[in-house]
Amino acid sequence: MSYISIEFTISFLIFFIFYWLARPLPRLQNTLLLFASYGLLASFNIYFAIHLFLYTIIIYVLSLGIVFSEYPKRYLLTSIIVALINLFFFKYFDFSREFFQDFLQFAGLDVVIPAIEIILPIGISYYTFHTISYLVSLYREEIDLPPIDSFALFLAFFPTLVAGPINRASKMLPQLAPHRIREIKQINLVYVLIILAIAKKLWLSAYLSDNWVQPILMSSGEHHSLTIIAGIYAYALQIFLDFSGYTDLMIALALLLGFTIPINFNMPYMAINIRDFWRRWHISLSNWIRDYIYFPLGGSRHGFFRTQMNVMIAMVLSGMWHGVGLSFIIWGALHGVAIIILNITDSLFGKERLASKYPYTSRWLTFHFVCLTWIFFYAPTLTDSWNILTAIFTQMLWQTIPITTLLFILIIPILLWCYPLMKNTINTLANGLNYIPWIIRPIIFTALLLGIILLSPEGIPAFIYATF
Amino acid sequence: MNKINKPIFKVIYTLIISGALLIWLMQDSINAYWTLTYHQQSPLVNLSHYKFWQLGSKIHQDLLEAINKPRWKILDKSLSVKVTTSEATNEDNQDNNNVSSNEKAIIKTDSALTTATPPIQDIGNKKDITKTKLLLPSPLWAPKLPLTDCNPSSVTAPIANIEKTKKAIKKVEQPTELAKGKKQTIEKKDETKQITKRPKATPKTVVINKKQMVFFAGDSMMQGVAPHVRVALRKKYGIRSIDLSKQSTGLTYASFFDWPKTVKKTLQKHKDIGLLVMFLGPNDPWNMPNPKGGKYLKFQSSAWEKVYRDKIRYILELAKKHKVQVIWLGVPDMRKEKLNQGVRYLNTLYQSEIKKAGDIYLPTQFLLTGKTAGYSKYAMTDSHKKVAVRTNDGIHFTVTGQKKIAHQILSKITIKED
Repeated sequence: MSYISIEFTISFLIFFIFYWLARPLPRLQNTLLLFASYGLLASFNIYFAIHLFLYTIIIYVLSLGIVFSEYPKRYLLTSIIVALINLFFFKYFDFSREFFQDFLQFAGLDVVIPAIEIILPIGISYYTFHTISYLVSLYREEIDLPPIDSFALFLAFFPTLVAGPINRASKMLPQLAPHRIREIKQINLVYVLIILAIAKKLWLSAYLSDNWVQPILMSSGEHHSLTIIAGIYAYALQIFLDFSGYTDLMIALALLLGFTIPINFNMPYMAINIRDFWRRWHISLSNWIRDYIYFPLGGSRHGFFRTQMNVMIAMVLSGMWHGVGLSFIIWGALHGVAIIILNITDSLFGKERLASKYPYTSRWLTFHFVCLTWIFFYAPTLTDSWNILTAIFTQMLWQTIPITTLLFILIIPILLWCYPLMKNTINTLANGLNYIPWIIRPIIFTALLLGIILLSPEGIPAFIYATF
Repeated sequence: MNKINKPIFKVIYTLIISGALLIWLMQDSINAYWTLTYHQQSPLVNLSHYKFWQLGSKIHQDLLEAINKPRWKILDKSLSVKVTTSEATNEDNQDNNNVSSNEKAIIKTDSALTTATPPIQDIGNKKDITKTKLLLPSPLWAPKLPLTDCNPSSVTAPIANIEKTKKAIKKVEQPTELAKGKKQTIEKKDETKQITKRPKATPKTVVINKKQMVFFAGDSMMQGVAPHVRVALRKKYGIRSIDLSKQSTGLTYASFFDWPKTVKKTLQKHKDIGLLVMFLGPNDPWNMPNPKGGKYLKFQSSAWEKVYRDKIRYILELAKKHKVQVIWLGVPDMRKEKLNQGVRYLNTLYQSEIKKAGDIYLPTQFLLTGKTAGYSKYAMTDSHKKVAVRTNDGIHFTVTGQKKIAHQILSKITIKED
């Protein structure tokens, strides 16, 4: 069931009423949430629900060892390994099967690893990360051992299940505590986020995809270089709108249920360098990688060279998490290299000195570097990425540059220029809602949503990041 | 009432009233989506005899017409170079809006609630993007220029890892070489219904000359296959083509999308079409709304079959009238058993009607998997490697699969040097 669909809307409304009727009993609310979350998961595929259920029990039992046994570290490592094997198996089996198959054949062994048709369970990448945050927090005694239903809900919580934001056990489990009566905070923000999410996802992102990204980048061999660049810009916008729209909706849903979940975006294309970019793009992921990969590897505490290695490992792993295939590894590696170069220039010229001196240029450079990496993110194979890149440099000699391309390309600098001004737009809109009497709000919202839906291209869009 | 509960009541009020208003205004789209997804009439239709309820639909349609006003199309026409896909579909969509009034649930193309996913909801199809068919490369409000000096191609997405979907797919990093030398396999006997008429000799290939166009029609399967054929046709022979394939379509739900009508319009408009290639089916094997109104016609009943055959025949006769040859592709096996039986039945209908008309029926059942019957996700390449030809939803094709089918279509086309 897609989140932007009539089924979800009606189901959620019905659920919402019962959920708040149970307000004096948070434990009951948790139960309702648990059933609703598993129901949503089962609506994709019943096996996903069963699988998550079994996985939850196994991990929870192992985590008991962390709390009660004499060797908590062993249980920590075991449970992390179990979680990672689960992720690895479902996500990377097919890819590694081929890899190992080739390797075995190369080694002269005529073994055939069976090609099992594996379907990737929804949310596996996300609940694996949630699991690790839980296990580590438990080990570090940042949280107490929760009841199993709270833990199960932490993993299955539907606003964060499908595509994040990546939550932390230390932040979420206290919110699930049974003595805490919940309330809806920031309701105006909720309304703004929902309408914004639908505009971003249903209209703008879909429009860009249908009219710019798909036609141009699918057949890059047939377009002028500038058009291809316009296509890449469009993709950069599309993926941002798509993902941030989804995140906005999830944050709004969580707020409606009385929960606060981490944000994922903070005007990412305003970043002045690549490090800044990762503080603004998919923030929950960056923080998770920093806390659970980069710091455990040593972070920046073991000298310059080791730091750069840690950066590289972290970024490549991030790439692999996003998808299966060499393209993603290269995508991660490119970002790793960029950060390393940034670290080098920092140590040579002073920390972010270039960026502070020439902020607009830095922003422009960073944006274009990110766009370059998006090529690898988008293209299904390396060959396709290569084709797009070569097309940019070899197809410049044509006489006809379409007007629409030029218009589009000119919009980008304008957007980058105006972007900082929009910093407080969401809050302003939310505050503005205070002036609208609550009785007539439905009419305003309906009118806005209707307008957005009418302008949108056809169909129910899915979510890009839900594939990870 | 607790003082703290009052804000929650306000929220419930806001959400429910907004939701109700939206349902009221978007009822057409919801009805269409419901029919496509659940193969029965939407429960909202029961409300349609209330005048007040109908008002919502009317407001929606009026607004849609206002947005789709022809003045933008005039702008398009004067600036676009040739008759291409984009123009054809633009006007087709425009005209689709003015379909006869006895089809109440006219679905405008701009509704967010019309489905982009096939009625078969399965997980693992990362390629929702294949179904997000785009019909024109230009924005609504900008003058439409060709993006290149070639025809703007309407395209679909290959397996893009990061494409928006709620389902995930296993990525295939295999060389996408076409299976060479795939012979036309012989149809299994039990698949062919008994043909009562004397079968005409079917031509082995279609012959067209370079000035003629090829018209691709169908659902999301065609959306995946057509681009490969089109590229080959253009690169090798300079042959132009039109691709109007559209996800979630078929012959069963005419109120959602009317293929007979669309084919008629397209053939009338583009006199130089020489070949029509049809590829659809998986959206069809369900109960069908009765054209005369009333209960839905049960799938595979004689009434259902008659209506369906009529539609196939209509298209074939149209083609004949315009001197257009037809290649009609059979549907390959599907992973879901119920769907698979449905499409195999449909294949018998296609085959018998096509053979009667003397056109080419191109089965795809064994094409992807070699000799083995039944659904298989994988096929063997010449170097004895397994390569995935179907996506995780058990319906669509990977790029490798698409290319195989495209190759087969091309093998049926002979280009006459003029």
